[in-house]
Amino acid sequence: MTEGPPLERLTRRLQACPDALLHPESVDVPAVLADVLRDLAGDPLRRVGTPMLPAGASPRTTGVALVTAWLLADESFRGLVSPDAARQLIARDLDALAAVVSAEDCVTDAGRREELARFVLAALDLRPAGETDAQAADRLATLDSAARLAIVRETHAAEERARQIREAMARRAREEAAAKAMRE
Amino acid sequence: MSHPRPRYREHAPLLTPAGDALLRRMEQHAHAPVWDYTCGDRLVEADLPVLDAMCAGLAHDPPAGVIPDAVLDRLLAQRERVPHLRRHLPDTRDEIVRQWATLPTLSRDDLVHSTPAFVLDDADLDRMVIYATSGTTGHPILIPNHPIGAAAYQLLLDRALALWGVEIPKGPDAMANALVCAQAETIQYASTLTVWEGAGHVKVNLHPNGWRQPSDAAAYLADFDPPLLTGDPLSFATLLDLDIDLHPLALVSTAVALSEGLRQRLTERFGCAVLEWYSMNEVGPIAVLCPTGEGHHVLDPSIYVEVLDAEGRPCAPGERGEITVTGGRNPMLRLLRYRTGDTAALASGRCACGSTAPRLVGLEGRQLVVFRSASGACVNPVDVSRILREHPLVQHRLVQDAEGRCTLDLHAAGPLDVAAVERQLATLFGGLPLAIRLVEGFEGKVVPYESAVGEEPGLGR
Repeated sequence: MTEGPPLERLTRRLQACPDALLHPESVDVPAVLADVLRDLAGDPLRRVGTPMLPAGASPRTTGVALVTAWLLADESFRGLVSPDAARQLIARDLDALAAVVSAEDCVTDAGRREELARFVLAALDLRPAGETDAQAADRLATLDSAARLAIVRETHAAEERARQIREAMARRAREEAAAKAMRE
Repeated sequence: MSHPRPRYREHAPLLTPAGDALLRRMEQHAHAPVWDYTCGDRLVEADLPVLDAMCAGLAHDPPAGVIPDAVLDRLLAQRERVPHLRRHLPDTRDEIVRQWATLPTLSRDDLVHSTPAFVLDDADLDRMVIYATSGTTGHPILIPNHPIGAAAYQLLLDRALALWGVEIPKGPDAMANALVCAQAETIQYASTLTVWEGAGHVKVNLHPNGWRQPSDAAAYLADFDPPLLTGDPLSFATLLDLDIDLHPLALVSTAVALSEGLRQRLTERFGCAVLEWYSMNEVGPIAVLCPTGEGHHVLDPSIYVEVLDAEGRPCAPGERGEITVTGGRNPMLRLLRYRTGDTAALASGRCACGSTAPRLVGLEGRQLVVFRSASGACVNPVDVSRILREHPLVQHRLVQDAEGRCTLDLHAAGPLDVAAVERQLATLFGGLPLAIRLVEGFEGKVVPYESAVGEEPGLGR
């Protein structure tokens, strides 16, 4: 593996991902992806070809692809990543990740930010600056399996808890509140 | 009507024999209102140490210009237990402080659509209580709270009154507080409050509909003569009209803005402190009018108050923006950077009154709106909210023009019985012309009530 950018730089960039990219329905997805490839090529006029996403890509995959494009647009990737490698990553590798991680999670959740950054680096045969190959692989494996388990558990638990809270609110709304000296 | 004791005990498990005797006196008085509700403070023994700790934490002014330690401590302690905090809050104190200005703000819409995201994973839902509110935007909304959150109002009222040099006598031998309303219809109840040592508290409606005889309201309140009167400005204006023989130590006005003119009239009539209080169901008490009249002091070190511009950036000191709050005293809702819809500028530094607490200057929240019925009587928007809450609505907007004609725009959340809405409002407004329009939605912030009729009540005579 070649040394890539520092992990912290990439997770910060993910955290700063514009809201607009989290709404694929309002974004010209092929144009965004093509722009990123041109940037990586260092040639704004280069023919890069579109579309890069597999036909029938799910909205989740499209969402994660847009966030990944935002990540790849970081200057630290220039000269390190070829447009072809980026195209392969987006076209081939993101489906598996998108099955368990949403685009929003990749921006708002610290664990998922790190997972996406490491996933992208590994897919491009890069390791985070300052880490050995073994450290990078080990950390990604930990995050990856933890993510799958945690997400499934969290999603089920969160849905169940939200249902309990809404039911309690509906039930309690029919009952008396607690006395207080002020009204709103 | 008196409440059967076992039923009331469910609502007030810590009721003492002395409190029980006071409750009977308040309920069974010859001039008592028509009680139609049972309500206690719902506190249990295990809540008392929590409230003691809360009291201890109120010994100091909230700090100015920084996130209070109490807010940071709680955010960190609850970060892993509240879905919204898990998602958005950094995991160390330093990072929270460093990234604070970039953390997402919350709107009332967020709360409406995702209430469970702000509730602790391990909150005891059996102790949840619900307050309904329509706020400044016309969105009807149910706010979960907890008996400790309700009791916090009494503790923070004490702190607010102390700022004005007032202390309310407490104890199970007298009524400490009457919360007065002036509405065609509202609940009425008598209760005792544990954190005020079992002192009596009643919620009563000054409207004649609430009493057996028209003169009963004056006779009842004059007999108990509670040292603290709370209510909205319209209720206090009605109190002036009734000219009851009362000797309060303080009046505390809430819900909508209290004009300086009405505040002066109340001060002259009752010869006591007249405070304006700023609170919201979502986070509890926020601020109280400074005795100098120069703004509202933040009351509580457990709440962080920011003022943000339209893009969510912190305003410079003295610059008006939207009041945004984090923390507060609602144990069922842990809100992070919640935009209130109210505006003010933030000032810090020692105030002329001696307080070093942050101060909201030029607070503009919910404005007092008064409608008129066909007879010319005041109609409280709270009565309109009460009627509309029964129907499946996302938002509403009621405008009364100078001739008394009403136009009601309704954004329905489902099948709507428009004829029923029309019938109920026709009764409230005494048959004034009313046009109801169904709309698909509203653009921007909606002012739910507007009126072009009549002058402010309480200033006319």
